[in-house]
Amino acid sequence: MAKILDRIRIGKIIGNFITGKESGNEMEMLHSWINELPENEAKFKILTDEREIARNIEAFESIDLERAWKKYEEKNVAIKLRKQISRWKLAASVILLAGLSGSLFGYFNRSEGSEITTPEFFTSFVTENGQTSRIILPDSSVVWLNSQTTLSYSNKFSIENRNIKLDGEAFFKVQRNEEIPLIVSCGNLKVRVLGTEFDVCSFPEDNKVNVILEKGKIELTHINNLFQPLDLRPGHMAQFDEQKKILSLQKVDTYEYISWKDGVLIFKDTPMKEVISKLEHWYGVKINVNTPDVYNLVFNATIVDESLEEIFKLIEYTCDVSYKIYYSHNPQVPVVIEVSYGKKQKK
Amino acid sequence: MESVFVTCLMKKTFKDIKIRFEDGNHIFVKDFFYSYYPVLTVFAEKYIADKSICEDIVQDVFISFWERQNVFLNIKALKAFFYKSVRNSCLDYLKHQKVEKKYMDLTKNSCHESEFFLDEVLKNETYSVIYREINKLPEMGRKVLLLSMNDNSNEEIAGQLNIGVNTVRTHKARSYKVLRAKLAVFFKPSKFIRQL
Repeated sequence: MAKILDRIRIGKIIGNFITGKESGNEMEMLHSWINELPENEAKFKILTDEREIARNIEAFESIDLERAWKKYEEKNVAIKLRKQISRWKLAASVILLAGLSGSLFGYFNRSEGSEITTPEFFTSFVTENGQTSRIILPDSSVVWLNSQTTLSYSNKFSIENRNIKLDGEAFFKVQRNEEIPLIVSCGNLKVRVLGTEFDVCSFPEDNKVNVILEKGKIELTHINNLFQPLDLRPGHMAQFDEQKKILSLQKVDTYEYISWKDGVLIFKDTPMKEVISKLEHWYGVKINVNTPDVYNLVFNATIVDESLEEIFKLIEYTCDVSYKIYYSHNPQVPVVIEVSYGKKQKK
Repeated sequence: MESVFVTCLMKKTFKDIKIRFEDGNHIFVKDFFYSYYPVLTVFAEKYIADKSICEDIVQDVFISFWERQNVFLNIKALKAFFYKSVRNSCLDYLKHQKVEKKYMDLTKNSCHESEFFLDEVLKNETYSVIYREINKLPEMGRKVLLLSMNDNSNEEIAGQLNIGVNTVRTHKARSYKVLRAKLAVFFKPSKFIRQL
């Protein structure tokens, strides 16, 4: 690596020398490079040969740049689309929505003859129940979407702002950009970051927003300033209870919360309520709890690629519950599981 | 319908996208493409004779770059990445073409940073600077300069470009300013080195 960087550096110096804009410092470096090895002097002689220069410049000029750029732009868009489409296939159903209202608004704005502003369009990604997806944002930040999640951003993204609206759960690996902070709005919470890795989780039925920071630094604010802006530290989770208006902080094993992005579910003394909600999202099923006592239980397991049946066998084995799986005709929730406290009665 | 819409949307923003470096600097994707696409294509032609294949390879490297999550410390590291990627793609292509035998030595050497590869990088880096300067000239000035550098006399240049000899002189006087003062003297390299 060092060698190639060195050649790039010397190449620039020689180029500057030939165009007469080298600095005194560069002149010194050039001098010592030439004297370093006899072959360097020979290389320098060839590089500064007028005909050699002309030949190479002509070669550069023989390339149709306009055409190449156009092709590049088109290919880029095509590949992006193809990637997205194949990703949809993979995830079975990530839907791309375009904010039509935004485009219409922009269109009318322009037709009225007001100053030309780029209309704001929104791109949304939606994952359905039981599916996860990974997307790359225009600033090349990577986002993993957990199931039942909607993420949207506008065409001003990475130009004027890096605003993201999120419903559901997503893990962000944010590309560093000091000038434009990335802001994730999730319910009434705002997470402001420059570049880091973190997870935001909010499902409406929970009335809670969890923000888990893996690396770096993020700032948490509430749109109504219900709490002072909070700097979250790595390895911590902030939980905001929308109903009770309580913000709590705790140190957590972050991987437990973000392992879903690698297709792994980890439960460590996790309350059954949380386990059930996670499994519902993960497998896209409905789980009915018949006896409230079930909620007093905790569950421990690491789940990689196990079937729902296997997981419930495990729950049945380790906790004091019984379950029954029904396959319904409702395409929205094809599988319903009933869970009751106590062992299955043998008939 | 939706796909078409997204296509327009991305086109509009693509050229404005910046490549950021860890050292805090940045360059625009379009600027980098415009200055390095020709350089890398000419570089690739040292490995593969077919220019259109070289262009395809460079295009693909630019595209795969966009797909990556690499962070570069500075612009030099970015350039190094591009040179290496283009070289690797060229060698892969040659391998694919089942011309291994002919190019075997080349491939072997190039696995490490062979002198051939490094010198091509040096050369293209040098000329990319000059290319950028020469590009600032008006078209006729550029043509006159290149012809003159190729040892054509003023009369020959006038004939080739269909302009008067005096016009050639004016262009020459102006254009040579992008190159080092008293270039003719300096381009006798031995003399220059003594001066250093």
